Amino acid sequence: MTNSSRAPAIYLALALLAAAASGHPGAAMAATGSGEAQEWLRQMSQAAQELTYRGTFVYLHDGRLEAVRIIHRAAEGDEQERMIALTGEAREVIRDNERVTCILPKSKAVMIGRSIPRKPFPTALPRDLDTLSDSYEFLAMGEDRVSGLPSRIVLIRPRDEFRYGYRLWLDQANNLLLKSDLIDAEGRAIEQMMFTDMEVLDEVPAEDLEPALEGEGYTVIGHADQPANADSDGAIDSDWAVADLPAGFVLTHHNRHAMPSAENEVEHLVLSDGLATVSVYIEPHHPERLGLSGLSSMGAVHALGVHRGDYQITVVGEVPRLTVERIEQSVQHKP
Amino acid sequence: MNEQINEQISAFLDGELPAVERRLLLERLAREPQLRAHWSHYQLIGDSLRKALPPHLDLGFADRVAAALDEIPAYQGPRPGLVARALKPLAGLAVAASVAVVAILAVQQAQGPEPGAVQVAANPPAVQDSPAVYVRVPESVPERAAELQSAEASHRLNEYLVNHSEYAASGGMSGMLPYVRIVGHDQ
Repeated sequence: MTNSSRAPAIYLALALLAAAASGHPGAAMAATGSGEAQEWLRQMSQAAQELTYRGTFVYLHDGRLEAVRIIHRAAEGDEQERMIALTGEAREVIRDNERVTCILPKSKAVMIGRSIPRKPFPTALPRDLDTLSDSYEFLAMGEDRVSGLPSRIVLIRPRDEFRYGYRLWLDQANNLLLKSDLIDAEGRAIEQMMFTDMEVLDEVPAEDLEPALEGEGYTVIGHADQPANADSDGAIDSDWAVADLPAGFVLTHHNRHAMPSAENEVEHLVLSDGLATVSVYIEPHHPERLGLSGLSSMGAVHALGVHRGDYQITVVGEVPRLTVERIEQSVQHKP
Repeated sequence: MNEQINEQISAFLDGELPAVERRLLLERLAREPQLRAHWSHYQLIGDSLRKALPPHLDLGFADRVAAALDEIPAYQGPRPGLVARALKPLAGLAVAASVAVVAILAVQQAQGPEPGAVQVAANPPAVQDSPAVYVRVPESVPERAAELQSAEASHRLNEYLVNHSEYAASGGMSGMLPYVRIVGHDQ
């Protein structure tokens, strides 16, 4: 990602030429209506929550290729999911209806947080769909083959430079996501994920969802019984507000919660355009504890840290650099 | 602290450390408080270089770099890529607290708006007897320096990322993708 600003103008010119040549989104691939594409996405979101499956996918970001095993179990409305890195450090993330556990063997640490119920996508309300259509174009792009399986392609194209889009390949038989490209406004892939094998199962053994903790000497960050990020959703009394957000973004959560290693509660604002999510964390500035200063990136995630007055503000989201910068400027402290 | 590790840190600052060694250095740093303390001697330098990037030129920066340059007897002027290596650890700096480091994602500083030559001490009388000192900041220096800039900042950002992932997963299109970043970002 750090090379985006280094990318020669020629790439942009080529992308523009390509766009001009094809004339129309998906002219070459016979794109069809957005209604169909959104219906496929709804089915994908549903399948991901309701099916039990096991698979392996590769993940490409910042010029690096990693492999991850995923096991997902759905039973009577309960979901459990475990992801294990197969390359490098054997990291794991285990998620159920109550908590998210990240296991980091190299740091000998376990991070625990509270899980938040998943919502169906796209959200059922027509108002949200309209907002989403202002920010993104949804296109059904025909068929392809991934992991030996026939798939259909959905393109979600951002309408401006404040957000990323996706090219998604969905299994035609069961609607599960088989491949995903996260793309910028020019259509260049920033992160790619692709399953190399995927099987839908009736049941998986319980032990497949247990962490492979080798046990001793691990530091637990957060608390298993009292979730680390227990928060109080809903309106809170706050001196902080957002104004003049990038088009399409609205405030969806505003709360305070304890962070595992913070002395004070952290104020947390969550902004969403219906697809991309950006978090703003505000905490009192501590002279001996430097927060993030400046801009950082990891794959599609950008983070911006700013020390403003008595506060440290950190903006994190899977959005372009421009967006975290604009959102940081949108955050205002009421006198 | 042996010579080899000094070399490694210097090379790291110059962005010349091979990826494998870089990873090992980061791991060692995460494990060894003593090494982190050692790193903090270099931190001012990295910090200075990082902050030197326009448009946020810190006014105290010229003085700090000038002070750092005073420590180097044979500094020969601009030599891209070698500046950080030439700067020796500064004595007497406060040693960073031994923070528990949880390395999920290496913090990579994104590009500054105008990396390149930065005039750090142009005005007389500070450098009356010598030509203006320019420090060419290699593009990789701010990235690498920021990567280790503050173990605590990195740790905190990681906590934020884990917390944010859950919100991103609950509100977005696929609940899986945000966690792929945590699992799949091996350093």
